[in-house]
Amino acid sequence: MSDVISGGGIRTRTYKSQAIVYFEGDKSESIYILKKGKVLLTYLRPETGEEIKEEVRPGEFFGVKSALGKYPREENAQTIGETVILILSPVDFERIVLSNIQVVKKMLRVFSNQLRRIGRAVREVMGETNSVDPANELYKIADHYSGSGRPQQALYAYKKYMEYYPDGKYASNAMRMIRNIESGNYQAPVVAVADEPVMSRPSVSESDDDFFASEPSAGAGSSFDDENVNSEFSDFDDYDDSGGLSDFGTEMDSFVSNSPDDGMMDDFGLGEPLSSSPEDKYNEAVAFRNNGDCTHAIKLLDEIKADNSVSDPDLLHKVFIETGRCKLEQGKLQEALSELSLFLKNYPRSPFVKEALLEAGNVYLKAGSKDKAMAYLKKVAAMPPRDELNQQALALLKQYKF
Amino acid sequence: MLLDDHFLERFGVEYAPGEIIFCEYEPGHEFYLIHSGSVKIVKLINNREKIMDVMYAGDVFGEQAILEAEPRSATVIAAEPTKLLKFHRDNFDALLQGNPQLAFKLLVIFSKRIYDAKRRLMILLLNEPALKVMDVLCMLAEANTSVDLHSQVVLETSVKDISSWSGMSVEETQNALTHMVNLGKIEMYPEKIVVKNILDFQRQVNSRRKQMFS
Repeated sequence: MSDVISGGGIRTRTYKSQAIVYFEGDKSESIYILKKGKVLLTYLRPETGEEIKEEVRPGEFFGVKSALGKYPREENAQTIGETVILILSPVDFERIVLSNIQVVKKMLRVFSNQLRRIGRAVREVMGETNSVDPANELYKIADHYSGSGRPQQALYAYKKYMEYYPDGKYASNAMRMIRNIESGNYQAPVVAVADEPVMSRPSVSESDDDFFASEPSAGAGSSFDDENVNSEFSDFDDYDDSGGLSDFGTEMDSFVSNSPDDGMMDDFGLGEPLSSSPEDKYNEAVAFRNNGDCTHAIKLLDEIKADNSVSDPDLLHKVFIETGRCKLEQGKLQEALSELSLFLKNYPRSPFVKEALLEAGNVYLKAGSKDKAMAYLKKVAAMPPRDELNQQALALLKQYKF
Repeated sequence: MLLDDHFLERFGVEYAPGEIIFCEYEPGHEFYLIHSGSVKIVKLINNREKIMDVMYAGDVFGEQAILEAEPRSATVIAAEPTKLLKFHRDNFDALLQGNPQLAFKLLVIFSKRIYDAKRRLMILLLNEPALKVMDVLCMLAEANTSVDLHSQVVLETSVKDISSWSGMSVEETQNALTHMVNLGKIEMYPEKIVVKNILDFQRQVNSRRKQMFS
């Protein structure tokens, strides 16, 4: 433990299971670090009313934004099991982060992602479309200024268009406008440029129950092709028939109860781990996904897969499952199934088989394939030892009234 | 001021009124700290320029470019002769190492911006003008920690502010406010609005919000 803690006014508090650390709406300047145990943050997503649960991992801060921004807590924080938490004042927090610039950078990255995500939703509600092409939009802005008698602003935007998109489809128009404005021959354009069609990808909407999830590039892969999906489904069945699921029961008792890496805190004095080791990358990927940024998450996961020095089989297995989960969240159901079925074929004795099967059940649920979903969820529900995964499977079975 | 003078020499840039600092959808690689003057944050919405915010000395903008090169989400235009400190993403590490205070300031700025954006989203999602206006007033009251929500609340705001937060036209906002004045719920003055019972507004907004998803 770092001596920063023992030297400062930081309090350590032990909570019983199910204790409330704070309620949504509370006003407080305290910032927390989970030292040991588990904390669940629960809140409603404003645009859907959906309840979101986020688990804090040991070594992580929580309650930071509302304390720093001086606004009411936005979530309930509740312990699961006996939990030890460090409580910091903003001054303590400032002192700690100032000596750990990497922690600040990491937090800034997470915050930046959250801001982007909310910004996208705001734009959506304000009537902007989600699937815009920055090049066209930049050109439209240039044209707007040009057409509203503001040649200097137009000139800036046309020049930026040419700088970034010299081969863009409006390049010759942009060049002409730049020449006109610079030579003093500026006049409002005679022919207005037609707006791009709003939805160029008709098949995106099915994955849009969470309208944040659709990254600009997500559409291409999310178009849902029944035939391909079915072939993936049968791949999966092959595994199911030959894999000998009943053998695994006794081998999978450790992964759920695996305690998180206790060394996390000590590595950095305090706070979040640096993003250098594959394990850290994995954790970071999970954090990205939790923040709705699956694109970044998948990038990190791909890096781990490509890293030949990774020898920890558990980590690799988790990476496969996490990739599947990300694809599922992106609505790329075929890819999610491919990832999971590849994992199950290659590592039929992995302690993470149950987790993979549960995810597969989730994919089938999302695909609307109830029979398959039920088969997988029932399998998970029946697999010993009884743990959270069994409970999740049972809850889903109940929720969907199977 | 946060930063030493030598930063101004090294990173200082000047803009004339009306000059664009960056344009929405342009890839962003720099972020800016306003040394003097002010800037307008604008967006084209339905082909009309809307002012989203005005920022002054000490404010930071373009900070989303710090960690990722995504297109800018708004256009920034100098509102008067303005001096800025312009930092490239590549210098960010060095800048933070040398100025941990700036790093901390950025964390605080992000925290506030996230809340503001989320609050704005919640307001925009409400489907009645009156509720939107009520929720803007709630937000303004909540933002002021010294305000006692149990008694009448005085908010320094204007119809224009409220219209900008609620995404409605000034006329529509004015109509909603006038209706509240007629019901005796609020009193309006040139620079302030007095809300008689802000908790009642909170209750109405929250109850509608719950219904929206049930």
